[in-house]
Amino acid sequence: MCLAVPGKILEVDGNKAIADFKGLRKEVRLDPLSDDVGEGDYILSHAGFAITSIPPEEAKETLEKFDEVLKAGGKF
Amino acid sequence: MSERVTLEEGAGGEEMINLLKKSILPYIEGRGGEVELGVRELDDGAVIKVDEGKYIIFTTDSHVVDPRFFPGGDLGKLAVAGTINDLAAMGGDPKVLSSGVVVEEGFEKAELEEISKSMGRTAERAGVPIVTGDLKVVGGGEIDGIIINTSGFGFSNKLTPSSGLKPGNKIIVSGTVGDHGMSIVASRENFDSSIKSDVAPVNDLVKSILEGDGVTAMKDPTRGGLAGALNEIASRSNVGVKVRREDIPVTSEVRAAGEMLGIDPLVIANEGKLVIGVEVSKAEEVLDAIRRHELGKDAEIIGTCTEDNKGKVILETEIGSLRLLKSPRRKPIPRIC
Amino acid sequence: MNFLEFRDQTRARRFSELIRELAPEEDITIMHVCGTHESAICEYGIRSILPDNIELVEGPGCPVCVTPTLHVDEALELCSHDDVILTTFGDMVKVPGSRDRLTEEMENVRIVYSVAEAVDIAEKEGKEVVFFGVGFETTAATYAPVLLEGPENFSFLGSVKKIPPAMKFLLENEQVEIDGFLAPGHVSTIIGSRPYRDLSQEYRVPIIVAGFEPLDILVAISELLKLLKTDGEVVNAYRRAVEEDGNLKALDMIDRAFEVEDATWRGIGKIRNSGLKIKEGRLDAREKYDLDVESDESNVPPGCICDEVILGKSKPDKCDLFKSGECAPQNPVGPCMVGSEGMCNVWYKYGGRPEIE
Repeated sequence: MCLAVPGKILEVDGNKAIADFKGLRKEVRLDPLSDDVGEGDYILSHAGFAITSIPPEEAKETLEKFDEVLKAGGKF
Repeated sequence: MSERVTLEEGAGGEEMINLLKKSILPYIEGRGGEVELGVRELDDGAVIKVDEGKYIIFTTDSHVVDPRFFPGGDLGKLAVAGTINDLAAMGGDPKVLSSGVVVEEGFEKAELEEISKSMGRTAERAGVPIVTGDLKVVGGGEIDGIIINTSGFGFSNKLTPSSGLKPGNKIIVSGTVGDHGMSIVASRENFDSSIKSDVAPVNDLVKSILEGDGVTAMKDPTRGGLAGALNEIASRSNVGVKVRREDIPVTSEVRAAGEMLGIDPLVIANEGKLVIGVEVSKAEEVLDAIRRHELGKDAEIIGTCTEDNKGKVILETEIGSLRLLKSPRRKPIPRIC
Repeated sequence: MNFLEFRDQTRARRFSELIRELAPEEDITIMHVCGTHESAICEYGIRSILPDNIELVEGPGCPVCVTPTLHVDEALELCSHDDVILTTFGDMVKVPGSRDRLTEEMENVRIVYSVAEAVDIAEKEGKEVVFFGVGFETTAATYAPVLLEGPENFSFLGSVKKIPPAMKFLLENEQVEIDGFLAPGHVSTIIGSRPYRDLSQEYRVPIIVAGFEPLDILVAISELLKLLKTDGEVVNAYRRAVEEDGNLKALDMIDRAFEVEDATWRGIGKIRNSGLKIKEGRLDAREKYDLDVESDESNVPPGCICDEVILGKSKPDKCDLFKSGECAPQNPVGPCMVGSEGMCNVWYKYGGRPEIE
């Protein structure tokens, strides 16, 4: 538990949106999201509902964080 | 084992083999005569020797698919291509087919015609005619719509059974995997996708492949997918098979659908592809020959046969680690948990 | 969307080396409680690149596996009503009840991808629709919006649980030896990283919130190893999807739609305050259909060691039923084989910690 996939919002219609999941388009409900999302935003979808938005800067920082951990190595 | 036949026993896995070995094969194998490769071997087809270096390959298959019309194909196309491909995968040049149709009372004639048109088109494209057939109508509710059985035979002077691999051989897959299986699941789940089944007769492709030599084994990765086919040839040939996930071609759409639905493209059916074992010195040559053909343009060398890990299929993952690639045991169902 | 995939070989290899450097001398056990983590671990062969003295085990993180027999029996009971359509996730297919199993071939059963689909069916077809909903907090967040305003002909047969109480239960259990937890990434998307802090401090174990890409899992393991000698700490290693406070809107909706109750976990027994029960009576299928089903909750069939596997005390390949093939995905005996993400099921598919020469 639980399978969730990242998708990019293509269009919003009230509490629903169409998102692009790596080339696949599917409708996703936006009810659980605290913030409003618009076209171009990334969300994480679980069982047809967006459970969070993924801020692109955070996603890009993920790799940087991995590299920090690798550089710091075992010493701390 | 249960007293009554279960659905699992039709899924093509171990249960089905057990059922065959217990309730059917012992009563029929060898009764009336022996052939080179018969029911006992449970290969894609039977091999009957006609003369030195000349064989007849003979096969049969019954087809049921839901939905009957799916992106890229339909039951009719599947029924014809499926049997042609079984013959081709054994090294046969398919000659003719038969078609046995059992249809339920109340079935729409317009649909029956569409299916027949599709069968005719596919037979024509492959150059393999349907020369005889049978039709039965059963009462409403006795079957679900329609079942089509196609049988066929062809000649071969170069057999490529699934037991032919040798250590050191390379493994080639003729194109992207998971397309057919995913197109079925995606259309059932009403996914707005352009995933199309790859269903197509591959006899012409096999002809080009077998023009040269070096091919040791072939299998069409239908039910059970690439994983099922690799496991079968590994165990029949008694070698280990090692493949690299990165080298296995999968379209980005099939990959995306697989991640959304929790279904692995490597374990679902393909209906227009081949898994080919080839001597290492001939591998590049055979790969080029496949790629020159329209149905083989995405072919890749995906792995090697080894002396160790006999009967097993090892997968090198995208991150460079190793794990087993096993045959699937269940029909693929989407999951979220 | 490749910038959201973290699977490159170079970094994976370096993490593997780092983990070897950080690994302690003694044997340690890291537990995760998420079926999706187990799938990712097996799919990417994570165990094959960990040193031998690090055990990575799955606790009760497969919601299907821990669904009590009673709930399956209740679902089957509803199927026998001619006018009811029972909708559920594909995961619930083949799950054994006391006498029978749910199958998709059954007349009244329809597999859906989302609870929203079930509501659609109710609205479009006008029939009585019941949704059999299992899951943890992640999935509860998808149920809540629907349960706060469902149509008249829709109702919910719930089997929803909370993860932190199960983690507490495991940590309290003296027989279970856990040196650290990988916390489930998507449950944490909803509940945040905060709920693990008290547990971490009280039981002095590191708890790392982990994502599901292979590099996410490797970085979480290395962070955990660094914290082994401390008094317990929580690290959020899945920042792109998890915040300290979680998803407040989702939590609020869950709070309005559900109330906390004790729950039975198949293979374990009762865990206090670990269940979520729907508040709205008219949408509760148990009330609507006055369900009163007899269930045979003799949890553990002879030979089955799921109760040990689920607590991380044993492995599938130590089970006789697993080894002989008597228990397999197509005919599951115990809960760990039932769910497609139960440890036994995943091991059957991927080979667990396979013997590769």
